[in-house]
Amino acid sequence: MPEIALRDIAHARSGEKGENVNLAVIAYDDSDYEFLRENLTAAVVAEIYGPLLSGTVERYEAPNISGLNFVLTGALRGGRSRTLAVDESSKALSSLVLAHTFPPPDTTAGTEH
Amino acid sequence: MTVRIGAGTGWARDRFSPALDLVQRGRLDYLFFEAMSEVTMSAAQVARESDPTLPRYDPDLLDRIGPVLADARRNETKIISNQGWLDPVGAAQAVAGEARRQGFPGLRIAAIAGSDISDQVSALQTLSWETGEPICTYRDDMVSAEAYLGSTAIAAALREGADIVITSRITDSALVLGPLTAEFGWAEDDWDALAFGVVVGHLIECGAQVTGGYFADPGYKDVPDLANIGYPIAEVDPHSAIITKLPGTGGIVSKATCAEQLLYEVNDPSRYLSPDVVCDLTAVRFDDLGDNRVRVSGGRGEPAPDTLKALVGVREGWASEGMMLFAGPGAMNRAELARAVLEERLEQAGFRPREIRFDFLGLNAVHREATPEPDHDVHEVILRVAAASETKEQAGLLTRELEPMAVSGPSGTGKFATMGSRIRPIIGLHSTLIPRSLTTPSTSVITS
Repeated sequence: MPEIALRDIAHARSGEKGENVNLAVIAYDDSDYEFLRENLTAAVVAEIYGPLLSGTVERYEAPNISGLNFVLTGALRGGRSRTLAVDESSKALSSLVLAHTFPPPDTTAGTEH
Repeated sequence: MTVRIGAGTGWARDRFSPALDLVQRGRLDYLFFEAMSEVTMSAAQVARESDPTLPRYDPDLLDRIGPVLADARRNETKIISNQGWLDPVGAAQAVAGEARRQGFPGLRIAAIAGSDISDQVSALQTLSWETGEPICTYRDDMVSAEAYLGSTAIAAALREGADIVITSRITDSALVLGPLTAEFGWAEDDWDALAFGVVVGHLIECGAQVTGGYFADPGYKDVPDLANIGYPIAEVDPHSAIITKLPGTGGIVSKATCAEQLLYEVNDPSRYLSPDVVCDLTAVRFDDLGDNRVRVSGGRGEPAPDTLKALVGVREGWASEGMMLFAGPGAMNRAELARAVLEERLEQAGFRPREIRFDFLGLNAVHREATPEPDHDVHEVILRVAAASETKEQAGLLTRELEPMAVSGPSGTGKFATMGSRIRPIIGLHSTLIPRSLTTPSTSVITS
């Protein structure tokens, strides 16, 4: 069974507020929301954006739109007015999570016995 | 009775033509211009230091409002704009002059002031979110300070018969909540109704971002005729609204575009703060009616906070930046050599920046340190260096060492991108929460 590419099952948009970046990940199909909720955890997102973070990743659920909202605290150190980053608005950051792939479900079965 | 509201612009540097199309064909009750981002006020103050003749309102004020005036009068469309920036009264007078010039005497133009809190900064004890220090710490280097006002004064001005409303800094959704409150008579403590109004505002306040803008990902999210994207219209009833756009325009309105915009710049979606109400965005429901029409419903609100958000702009030095181009065989090696040489020369020149970054555009500049390792050599790469320094002289040292690299650096270096290096002042923004009592919204009416 192949890996599941996040980009195949969800779309994303990022924005900034002060020093925080918000990353919304939304399932194309409502039936994929549960998979996202179980597998795209704050820890997974923290792993992906790790070197950019100066704080935690908070995850909020928005089941009404089959979406998850991640707040990457301190990802834009000093905020837009001070950052030297080329992507000063953090609008280009959402595409990074879309490169993520989930391991195929089968490989997680039967590893604990 | 359905209220039709169109978004002319989503920010200060947005397009010009969509607003005209909206006012001509949209049968709008209201057209708004959102023309302010976080950095706009402080940037305007700095611009005025170089050129004191610049107005303290948006220099694009008349370029945006002028062309829509005639159709707005013909179609009985009221205009709401936050282009007043730091001088809403001056802006209203300019609009009045333009209206008279076009043959529209007797227009009532309301100017709403009261966001400017710069004269209070020297005593302000509330803390900066960015540094944890009291705001008064920064009084000597302060450039601008404004609070985000809500929709109350806008609604009142419209009820009093204003044809055009010009504001200073307000929360973006107030451009929509103001007219909705005026039309539907919502009370200041009807939290669910206000929350619904804020949701409608939040969906269309960024203009094209809900109609297929900031969305297209070819092959995954296809947007028809993006070049001619239509800006959004909300057709609002007291408990539900349709988000749509003009027929014959490009773009797309779908549950997907609405969902992305719903969460845009949101922290905890169950508590989305605005000056007028705290909204639970997880109570919102979208129904796709087809044909680029999405119905939104479901407002759930909690009482407004006691405080208002404010932004204080403070001088924090100078930024300088430059680039060098490399391509072909050995491009990356030459770029890295350039970096090493530059670092050593900058050290020798006494360059002591507060912060410096080297990025390799085409390789890892956008996602920075989180960029996955490349699995192939790049054909071209641009070395970009950016620094923050205390003084303009220090910032200039970067430029001084970067430009000679063309003759004393590695081979095959192309002409610098962006026609040389840039130096600009850094105005750092501090966010803080202030008591509402520190602001005194005031409304003046100018008649054309």
